[in-house]
Amino acid sequence: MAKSLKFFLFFIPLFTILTAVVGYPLLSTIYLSFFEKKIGAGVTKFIFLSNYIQLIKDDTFWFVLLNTFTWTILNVALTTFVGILLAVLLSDERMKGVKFFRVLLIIPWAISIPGAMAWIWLMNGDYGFLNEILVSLGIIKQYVAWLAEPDIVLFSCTIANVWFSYPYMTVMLLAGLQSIPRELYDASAIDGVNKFQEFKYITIPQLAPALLVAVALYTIWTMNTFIPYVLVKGGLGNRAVTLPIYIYNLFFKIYDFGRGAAAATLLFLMNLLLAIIYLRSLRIEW
Amino acid sequence: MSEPKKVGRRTFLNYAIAVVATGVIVGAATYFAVPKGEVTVTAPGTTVTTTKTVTTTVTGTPTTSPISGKISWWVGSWSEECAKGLANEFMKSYPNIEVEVVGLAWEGMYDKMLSALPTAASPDVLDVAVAWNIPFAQLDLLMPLDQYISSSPVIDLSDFYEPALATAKVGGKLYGIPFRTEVGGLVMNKTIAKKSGLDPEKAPTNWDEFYEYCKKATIPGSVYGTSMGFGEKLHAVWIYSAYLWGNGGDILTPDYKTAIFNSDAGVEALDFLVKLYKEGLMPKDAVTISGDDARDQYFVPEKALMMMGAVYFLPTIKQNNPSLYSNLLIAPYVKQPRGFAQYVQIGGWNRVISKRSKNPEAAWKLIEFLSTPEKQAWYTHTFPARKSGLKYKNYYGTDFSDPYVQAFAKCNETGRLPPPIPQWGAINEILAAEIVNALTGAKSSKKALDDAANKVNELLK
Repeated sequence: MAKSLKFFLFFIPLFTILTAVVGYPLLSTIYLSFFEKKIGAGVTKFIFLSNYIQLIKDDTFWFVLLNTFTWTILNVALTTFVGILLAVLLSDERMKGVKFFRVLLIIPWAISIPGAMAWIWLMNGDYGFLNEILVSLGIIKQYVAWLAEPDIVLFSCTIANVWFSYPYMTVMLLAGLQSIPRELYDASAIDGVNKFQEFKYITIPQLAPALLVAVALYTIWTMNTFIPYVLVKGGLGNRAVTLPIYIYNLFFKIYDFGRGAAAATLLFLMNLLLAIIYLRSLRIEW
Repeated sequence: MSEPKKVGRRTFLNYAIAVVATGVIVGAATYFAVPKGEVTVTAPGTTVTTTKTVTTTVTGTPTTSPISGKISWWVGSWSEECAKGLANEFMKSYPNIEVEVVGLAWEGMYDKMLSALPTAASPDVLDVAVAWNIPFAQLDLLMPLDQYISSSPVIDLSDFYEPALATAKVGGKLYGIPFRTEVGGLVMNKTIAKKSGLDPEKAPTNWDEFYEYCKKATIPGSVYGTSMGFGEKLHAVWIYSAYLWGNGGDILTPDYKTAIFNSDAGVEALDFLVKLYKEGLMPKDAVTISGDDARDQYFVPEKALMMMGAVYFLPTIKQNNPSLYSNLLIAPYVKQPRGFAQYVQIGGWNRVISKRSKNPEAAWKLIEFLSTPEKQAWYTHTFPARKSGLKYKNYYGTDFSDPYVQAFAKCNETGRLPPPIPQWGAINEILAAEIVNALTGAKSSKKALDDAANKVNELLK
């Protein structure tokens, strides 16, 4: 009895915080998605699924959804690739200056958004340093306005986003790599396994749980990020608009709170799916 | 290595049900606890019922009434220092009233206000951009000020610029006191004009001349004819509307029910901007940068001959490029050569009282104190909204007798209010996105404006 009371008392703070910051906003958003609530439109009206139907009929929504998937896939793939590469390099304790490089690695993460904003200057079409480097290397012939070209804008934003999010991936995977028992590598060396086989048959399978957790979390963050909004003011038509930015615009620019809530609910469901994958990867039994 | 502890299905479900149930309880409690804004303001001398159970009395002669309490005043962070000085001065005159000045960064300022105004924790007095005043009033978030104005010895409405007052008027009632007003004009770099073989003392007056000036001044990769910023949506529509109005077009029908910016005049206006962009007479990055970026990245470093600017550009130019500052030409913005009147969207700031203010009397006292011509002139970053304010000193060092400032003052006559409806922000959003689609070639001007018009008409239904 006393034990369960103690459990209940300890549970109250968590319970209150979760209710305030997760439960209430979530439920009120879902509730709002069934209503027509617009600025200047008068009384709030119950319209059941109409907001969802309007979204499905809206070409912009599908365009934005496609942008969101393109953005997420590009970022997750590139960041994971860079993260694995650097983690493998930095996991070698025999490498000179490895500790220094590990500290250096954190810098883009530490300066975060302001650092990403520096990319606005680097990618400027008239005096961007990136253009100067690429022209001097002969990769491009003339300057490119990286953030003003509709066909490449999402890719340009991806470069900036990968730059300041690869440290997360590297740190997570580095931790995973360091937990792989050294004996496995020693045994494989005796068996005459080459480096590629070692990576394929030992490193990757052993790293898989950490990789899955890191990728699942990073996918959620990437899907919800506002980085394209920071880099491309206005979204370049809708070329650099992803679902969270679209939702923000519906709420705070178009003032269509009902449709904004419906779009937010759909984004929540997508994130929920990813969260389930994440929880599964933590081996939480349902 | 130990197996991670498993959370059973039953335990998980118990947690989930508990969280959801509490959400419902807290949600319901919050819904019923939040005051529903039953604020009724009646004639002086009668009772004002504010939120919760607070009941105060509006006196017929507010100048002599003993008013006390604490109020909060939300200002732009760029005005915070000056606001604190004025608040201290106010508190000396009204020792029973305590003013807390809160500075807000421009980024997210609107969202913060929109989120805070309907709540019980709403600030009392707010400095709001003119574009927000009417939407906030129509959302029933602001207090009408007519009853205070009519009995105020300080407020003389005939001294205010009429377009500035129009930015605070809804249904014949005033929901804000304008304190800053400005209308954009054309700013030209005379040094670049001279180098390009143009008359540095004569600004272009119409589109044809503007295009010719741009063509002559542009040196690919080095200097542009004009610098514009379409990345910030308010700014994009600010530019486009000047061309639209200058071509005899308009944004909506007079009853604000239908979009008409996709008329021939509107398409021609956008085609003109697209021509400037496609021919490289403005930077490629114009579609992603803001108006301030266009100034700081191109006009100030002398990489652009002209831009649409406002009086608040002057200190920045003076500070960052003094030699450019001494070689500026300022004129009213260009119009279509067919003889239409030229207009530019009016900009500026108004001061409002939240409908949820717990101390509207004290809030009004502060507004009244700040609304004298002298205080308005002291506080503004551009022009005071009161004409008689131009003879006073300014905190930021703007000399209202300066020839450049005077030239911008002349532009004030071309000010025009965009549709004063709550949907204006949404219209900006829709229209700006399609303007960029046309500029980048994703759509033709006609298609882009038609698409925008369809969305806007849907919004206005």
